[in-house]
Amino acid sequence: MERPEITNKLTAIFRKVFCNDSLVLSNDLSAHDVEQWDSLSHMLLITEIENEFVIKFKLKDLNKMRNVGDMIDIISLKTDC
Amino acid sequence: MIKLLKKLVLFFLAFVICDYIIGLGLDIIRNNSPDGRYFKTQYSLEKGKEDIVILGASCAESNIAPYIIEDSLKMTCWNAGRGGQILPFWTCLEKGILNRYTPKIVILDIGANDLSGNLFPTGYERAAFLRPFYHRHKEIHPILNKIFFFEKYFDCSNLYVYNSSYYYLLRPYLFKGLDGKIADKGWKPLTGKMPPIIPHPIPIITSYNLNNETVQLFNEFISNLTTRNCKVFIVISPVFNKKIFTSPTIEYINRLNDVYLLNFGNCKIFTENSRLYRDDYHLNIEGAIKFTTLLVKRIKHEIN
Amino acid sequence: MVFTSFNFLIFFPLLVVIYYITPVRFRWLTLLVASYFFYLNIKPVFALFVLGVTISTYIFTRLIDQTNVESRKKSFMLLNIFLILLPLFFFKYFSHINAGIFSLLESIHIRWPLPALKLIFPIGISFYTFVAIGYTIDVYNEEIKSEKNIGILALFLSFFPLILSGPIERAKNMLPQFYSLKIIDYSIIVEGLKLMLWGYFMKLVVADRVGLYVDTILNNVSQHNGTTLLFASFLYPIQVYADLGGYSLIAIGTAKILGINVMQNFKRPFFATSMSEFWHRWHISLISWLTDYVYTPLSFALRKYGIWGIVTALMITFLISGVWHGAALTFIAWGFLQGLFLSIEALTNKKRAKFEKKHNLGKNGLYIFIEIFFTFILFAASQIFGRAGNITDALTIYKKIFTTAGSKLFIADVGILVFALLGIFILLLNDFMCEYFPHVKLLRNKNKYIRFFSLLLLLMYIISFGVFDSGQFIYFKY
Repeated sequence: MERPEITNKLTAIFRKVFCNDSLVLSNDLSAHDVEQWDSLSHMLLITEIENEFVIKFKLKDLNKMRNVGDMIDIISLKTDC
Repeated sequence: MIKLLKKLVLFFLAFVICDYIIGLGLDIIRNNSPDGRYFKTQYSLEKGKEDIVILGASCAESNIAPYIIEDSLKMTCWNAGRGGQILPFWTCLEKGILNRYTPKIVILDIGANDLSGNLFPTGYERAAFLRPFYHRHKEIHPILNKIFFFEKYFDCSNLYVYNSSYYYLLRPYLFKGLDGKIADKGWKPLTGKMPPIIPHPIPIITSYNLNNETVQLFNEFISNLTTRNCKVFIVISPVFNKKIFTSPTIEYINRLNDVYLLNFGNCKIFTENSRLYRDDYHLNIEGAIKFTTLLVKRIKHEIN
Repeated sequence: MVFTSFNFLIFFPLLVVIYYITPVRFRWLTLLVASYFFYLNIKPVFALFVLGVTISTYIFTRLIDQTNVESRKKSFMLLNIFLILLPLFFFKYFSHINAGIFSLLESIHIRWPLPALKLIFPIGISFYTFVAIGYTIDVYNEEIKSEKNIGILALFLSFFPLILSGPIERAKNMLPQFYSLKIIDYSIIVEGLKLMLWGYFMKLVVADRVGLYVDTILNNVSQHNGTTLLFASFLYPIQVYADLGGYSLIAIGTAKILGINVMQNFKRPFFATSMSEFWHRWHISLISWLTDYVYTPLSFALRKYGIWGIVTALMITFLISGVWHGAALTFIAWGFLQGLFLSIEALTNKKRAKFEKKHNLGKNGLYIFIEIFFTFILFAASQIFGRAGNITDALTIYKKIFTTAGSKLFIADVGILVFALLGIFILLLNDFMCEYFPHVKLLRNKNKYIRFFSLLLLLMYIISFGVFDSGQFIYFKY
């Protein structure tokens, strides 16, 4: 899947999980930048992403996700296979 | 590195100067205290010349009224008791007193198991109350230096010797008489009384072995007085609802030839009368007057 | 030897001098020798445990790296975790489980004389065991390569500023630093000294003095009324913050002077507006460890259950946190309460966010104050269990608070309480300023005279009001 498409879908998911319609994603956006993004909401985010993109993450993938950019890279890898 | 060392030296010098100046101020406050526990301690160490001195902890401080002793024995009397303190503190006061004169009589109020107690670390650490007097009284150094290894170095600092003393140092300037009025000559009369309780006195636990170090310090304390022909009366104050017949401490003191032991531990006038107590261990004013009257009778009997 | 012992005040400056005259490539060795010397001074036999954990962790992490078979990697990881947990389990929980089994057998009239061992607890074992487990899992997850130099690994696990009470550090942060121990400059040393000094203030002036009052009350629960118990229960969390937070700052400052950066462990926790924010500010190293190694794998495994999977993971994580603190039921109750509070917050998160948005409460000062106060109450309420000697005492405290509130407050020694409250005021004022007015500084002011005299004043305050021995005591009867 192309990055723009992933970004669009991710934006919708982020806005839904964090109840923030004005949230704009960038590659270096991370939990520090979004008020409600913590370890609790992170797992809800992961579940929504898996459902939307029909993929399954591994625990090791989570550890590699430092920011939205990393997230898009991993999703791209999984949706390409 | 040189910059760091320079700054540290400068900092240290600034600290020493501030420490000295503040120390001068604190000494002035202490020396001019209108009353209170620092006034009483300073008086005991530096000024008092009474014929009879009372030493001990809170039971001594509140149970024994000097004016009754003065009226009866026609000798001056000062109560140098201080709550919470044990042998190391009493030894320091004794040294301060004996540096200046020898009292005719010393009354030492102790607990029935005091010679079984460990002096380390609490006994010595509690004597840290005397730190503000460290610079002027070399005689208390041997005791205070035992608090910990670096004590003598840290006591060079005025701020350190006055550590945690500020409340009791300043309190008499705002509220007089809370540790006893000057006219009470060191006595701290306690108001209030226990609720009426039907007593069922039980013997106190006395199965503690004597502590060698405590006994050694006690022997030194006693011989410092008796070798100067001072009469020593060891008093065991009565405790409400308790019987104190004997204990290893009492038996040990009984075997000493040069002291008088006055054991009120089983005196039913007190032990079964809650009205005379402020709490289990401490007599109120009424109880103290009654107790001192009885005590003085016993002392008179022994010395005549 | 602990940070607040005078021996440490001799040991540390000497070590710094030796450290700086040691050639750079051998400095890690100086630190290793110093760390074991530090630990041996507490009790020599304790060093055997940290050595054992080091050797086991070294062997198994090297094996993990050298095998390509996933199942073998997992086995090595699990085996090492099992082995290094054994001493922790044995020392921390053996006597409790022993007593539990004994009373269970007694209740069914079986008298089986189980051996009761008098065990001296190796200080710091909870901390370095967690550090070792975290490192093992990081190697397994390929977050970091296993350390080839056993000396460096030994240093990482025994590093003296951290070994007794944390912060619980990560290999990714620490190991590279041990390889680049270079000359550091004056400003970093001064910063380290400032951190240490403030840490000593928190520990000696606040924690130890507040503790004199709190211990008198909470060690004699049956003798005190509801008002007094409530007051002591409010003071206790501040005592813990000042104690562990102060100790952490001393550790961080000590490490900084040696050129090592260690993570922050407390971040003004009493200004948190929710329990989840609180746990991002309180004992940060422990909670981030639990998040990375317990909560995340658990919640990941349970993610198909949505919010209920999160709630389950939270409850288990905090129950483990409770058990880590101690084996008694009170700690389990404490952990349960933390999990419960966070679960309720997670479940009501969206509703609360909507409510706040609707009424524009985000920047409302009064609302923020209420949130802060409520969060503190929740934490203080849970700490009643954390502090109580047993469940009966904890429940007695709760009962008395609700049935005899309004009774007279027991003050004990006025002198001790007055200066305890003054210390708390200074501490919370400092935190308040750092939280809302971070540009206002004293110890780090631009003006060198303000910096100098603030430091001097702080040192003088510590010497004047710190609790250095048990000469300070509550002797309230007198």
